[in-house]
Amino acid sequence: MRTSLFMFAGFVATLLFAVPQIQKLRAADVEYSVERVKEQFIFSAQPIQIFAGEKSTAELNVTSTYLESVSRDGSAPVHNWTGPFHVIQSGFLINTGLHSASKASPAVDASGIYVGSDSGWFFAFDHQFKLKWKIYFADSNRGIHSTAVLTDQFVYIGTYNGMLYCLNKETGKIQWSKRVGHAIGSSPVIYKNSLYVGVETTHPNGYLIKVDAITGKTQWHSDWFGNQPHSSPAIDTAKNIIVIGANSAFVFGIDMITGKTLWKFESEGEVKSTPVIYEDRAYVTSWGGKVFALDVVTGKSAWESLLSIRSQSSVALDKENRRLIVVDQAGHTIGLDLKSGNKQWEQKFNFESLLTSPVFFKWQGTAAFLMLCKPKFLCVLSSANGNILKTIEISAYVTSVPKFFSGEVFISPNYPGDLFKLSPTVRGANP
Amino acid sequence: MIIGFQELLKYKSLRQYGIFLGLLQVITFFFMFPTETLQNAFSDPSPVCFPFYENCSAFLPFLKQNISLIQFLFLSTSICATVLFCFDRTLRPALLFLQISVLIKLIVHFHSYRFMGNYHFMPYIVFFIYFFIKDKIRLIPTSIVLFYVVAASLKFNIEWISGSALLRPLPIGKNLLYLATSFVIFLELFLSWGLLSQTFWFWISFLFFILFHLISFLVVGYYYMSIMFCLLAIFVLARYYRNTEPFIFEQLLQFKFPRSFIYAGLLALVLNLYSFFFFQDPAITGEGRIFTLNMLDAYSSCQPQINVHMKNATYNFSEPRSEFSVRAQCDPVVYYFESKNLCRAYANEPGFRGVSLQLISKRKTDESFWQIIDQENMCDPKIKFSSWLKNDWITYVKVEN
Repeated sequence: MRTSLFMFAGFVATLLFAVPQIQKLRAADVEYSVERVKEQFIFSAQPIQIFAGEKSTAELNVTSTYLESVSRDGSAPVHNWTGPFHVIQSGFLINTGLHSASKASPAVDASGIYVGSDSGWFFAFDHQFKLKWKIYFADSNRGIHSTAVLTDQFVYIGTYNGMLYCLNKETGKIQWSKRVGHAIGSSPVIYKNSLYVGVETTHPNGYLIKVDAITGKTQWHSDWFGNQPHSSPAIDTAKNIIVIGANSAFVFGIDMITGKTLWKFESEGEVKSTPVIYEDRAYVTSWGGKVFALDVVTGKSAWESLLSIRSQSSVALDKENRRLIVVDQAGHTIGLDLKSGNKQWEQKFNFESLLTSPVFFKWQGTAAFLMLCKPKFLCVLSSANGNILKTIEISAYVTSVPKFFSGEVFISPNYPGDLFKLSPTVRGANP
Repeated sequence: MIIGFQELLKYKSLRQYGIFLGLLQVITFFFMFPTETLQNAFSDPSPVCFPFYENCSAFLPFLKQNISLIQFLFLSTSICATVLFCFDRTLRPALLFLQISVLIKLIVHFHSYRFMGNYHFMPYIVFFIYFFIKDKIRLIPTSIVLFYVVAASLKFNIEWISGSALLRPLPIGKNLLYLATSFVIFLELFLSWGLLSQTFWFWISFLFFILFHLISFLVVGYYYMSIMFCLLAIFVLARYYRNTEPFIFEQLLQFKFPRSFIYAGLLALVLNLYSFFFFQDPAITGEGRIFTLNMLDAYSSCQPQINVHMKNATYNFSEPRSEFSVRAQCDPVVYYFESKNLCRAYANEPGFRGVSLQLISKRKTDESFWQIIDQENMCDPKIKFSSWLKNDWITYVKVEN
């Protein structure tokens, strides 16, 4: 009898404890399954403040961004080259061929050159290629393929183990870091002190995340993309819209303030290229073998143009002549009318897998672009007709994108090439 | 050496319980002694020891060279013990083989923190009583009930009821899950006492525990279930041989406490209270874990950050050690040893400045992380992990959102 009473009392006591808890759970309607909580961890991951010194809340001054600007239009500043190109080797082997993905491009500003490696190292050099510091992300066993964004004080980088880092530009010390997913191959962009980057998860899936660039705290994350984003976000600052592609074959338009998906466009193939935004349109290539001009506000296609094969290169813009330069993986290079998408000219180079992107600049006063034209040759091509204006022999294949800075071009080649720059003078333009 | 040997001679139930303890060791062989498991533990490039035996790595090469011998000795002594316990005439050699088997397991266990787990902790306590404590017939069943009660005390939180503490989700709906997790609290905290009852409550309690452990197979795998079945065998054997000594619950309800029960209860209470009062949240801080059960206390998330600082370079390590069990992956002990190992590895490198360690952790259902470690130089010899006392370099500070 006493035992039964004890059991009954125990049962009542358990109910008294458990029922309010269950009610709380039901009211919150929180799905606490393991998977869900894993996701919550990723989304709510706190930054680890390592050197949390006094920080200015003034707007960060961005000094280098992948494809030059937040809209990724490659337009600022326009470089006008007249002299010869001298290839100046750094003597530093950056990439080691550990992973086949496109390599990180150098980020360059007045303070130096900052570049990640597929081995997991991230290097900072001065303009004489003297090593300032380096950091090894030991757990990122497939390295760094994301191009850094630079501000006056900091270097921001994503690694292939899903970590986002803010490094002190002078010392390389970690200012903050946080795990946001399982991999980052996308290149971050900073606008008004917020950092945006595509994040991959191993489901496979992914999303865009907005992070306070000063504190590292998450501001929002977008809906799931359905597959991983290798593409980097581009921002239309006038419309407050971010455009990014994903391997789910969709291009997404995302509200910059709320992170909500405004539209998504199906592109018939994986979208690995970074959209280029110009005059209310986002230009993007896809593995479906097409290039699209999408309305940034509605996501509707203004025009599309067929390529000979898939492409993951970003387009180059010749704004002056209202022309778009597009390349595919076989090396077909075409000039398209910006408004209509009509083909103006076509050049054929032979590649098995061309992954780099053309970069617009001015060569002896005329509109031109720089791109790989043979496996170990860079070419200056005329924007007007695609003709080769100049050929430069280099030491290795290139999958990163050349970076112009102050009259020089910085290139991080694949293995076994050293980091190098093209300079108008033998000793370099930035002593 | 055996204390209370006469008791073993007196109770056939205890002698036959030896068969189940031997069987428990044989099952342990398949769980803990596969060649790959031992090789991984003994070849760890960054060995993680138990804090009370920091120099375990010195002995690892020897163990690694003798894996086959260790396996052979452990399995053969476990099998011999199991078989010999079947015969009354061979009780002494059976006990000897079982002791050797337990000793081998202890040696292996305390050479890698990878083996940390309650499913080892509980059998050790039972073995200790079986070999060295008098009044075994009462203490072993009492200890098993106390395991359950202590385990239940760790489940009074929304984390457990929500099901997020489960290693693998149960294939049932949300509402049924909440009911099941709530019932487990009742089962462990109250119904467990039925195991000590002389009434029909024994069978109700026993059957629910069998059911509970069968279902636990879906969540934690075969080992925990098998271990508990072996340990629970004492109840059936005592009932079968009509030993009345273990079934003291009705006495307890009349406030008649056998001395052995008082000792066991006080010990369990003091160890657990000591742990919780002095170490805040052992599941997160890792402090005082040795005093208490950790079973299903926290399925935590963490972010470690170890930086080796050289003159012009930094080596950054940010991945949780996924080769450790889920409940050990975020244990500060793991990152303490990893940092110390890096200090040793780089100590003679030119330009070496030190190793910093940051660790933030949270229970799965916590909204915020807790800053557990934030140390600029883990190479400082003053930084030591104490298993017994509070570590002033381990913090428990909420990371503000």
